[in-house]
Amino acid sequence: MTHDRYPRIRPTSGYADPRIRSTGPGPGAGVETDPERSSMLSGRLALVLSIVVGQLWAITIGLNAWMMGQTRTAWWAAAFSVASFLVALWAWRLGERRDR
Amino acid sequence: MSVDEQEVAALRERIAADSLTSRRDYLRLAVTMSGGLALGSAVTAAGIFHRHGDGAAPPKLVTAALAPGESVAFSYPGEEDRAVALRMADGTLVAYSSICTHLACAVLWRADRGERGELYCPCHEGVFDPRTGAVTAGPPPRPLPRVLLEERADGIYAVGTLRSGEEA
Ligand code: FES
Repeated sequence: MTHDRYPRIRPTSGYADPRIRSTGPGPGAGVETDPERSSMLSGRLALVLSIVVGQLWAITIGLNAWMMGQTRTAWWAAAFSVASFLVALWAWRLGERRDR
Repeated sequence: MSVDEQEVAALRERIAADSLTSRRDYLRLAVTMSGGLALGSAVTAAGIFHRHGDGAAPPKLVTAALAPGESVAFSYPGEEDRAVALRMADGTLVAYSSICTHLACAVLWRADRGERGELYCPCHEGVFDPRTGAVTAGPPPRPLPRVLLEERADGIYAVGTLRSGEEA
């Protein structure tokens, strides 16, 4: 830490000194500001991977149904798959904004 | 460290860095895959795949006669829609698409197998019931689509098709 290396510099050094026009990083600078970021990322990844498993299941159901002439069922499977993708997209975009 | 060694070390590091895929990369990859699967499901439902043995065609002469226990291969309704007609020992006449519903191998009529003979796919030992086309063993997920036959004075004609699992 700064204080150990330069004992005379304190987190508030320079405060109210008229000669100082801009201060350095304040107290707390350089530490993790969002400690849950990493586990959020793991969580998002786990969510998206399970969505992909669900979509693999849906495409087998859909293909089988279509081959048997049950076009309605195939469209339902496709709708499920698209909805799953939207959730995956949300999980991805959500983090992209905060994950900086 | 000599210059050579340094170069090798630098190269090593670059190669190691290349193979690093972060969780963020995996996430992006998984989301891309998810999009691909969604698109795939949609085009499947829209019908890009050919449904084997499906469709209509004018009646087509299959063969002049078929003795009990014998089978004959033909195409119906399209040239690519391979099918097999067979007469079981009790005289029942049936025909099915001979394209396996598993991975599209050719299904064969084997009179010597099972109790009353069976439709057999040698690729992964898929077995179909010759009476209904239903799967009795192996990996095929669906019954065989049926070809409707008609016995006329001058021979056996294929006149129509039923989809997999559809009843007449
Ligand atoms: S292709 Fe017929 S059992 Fe696999």
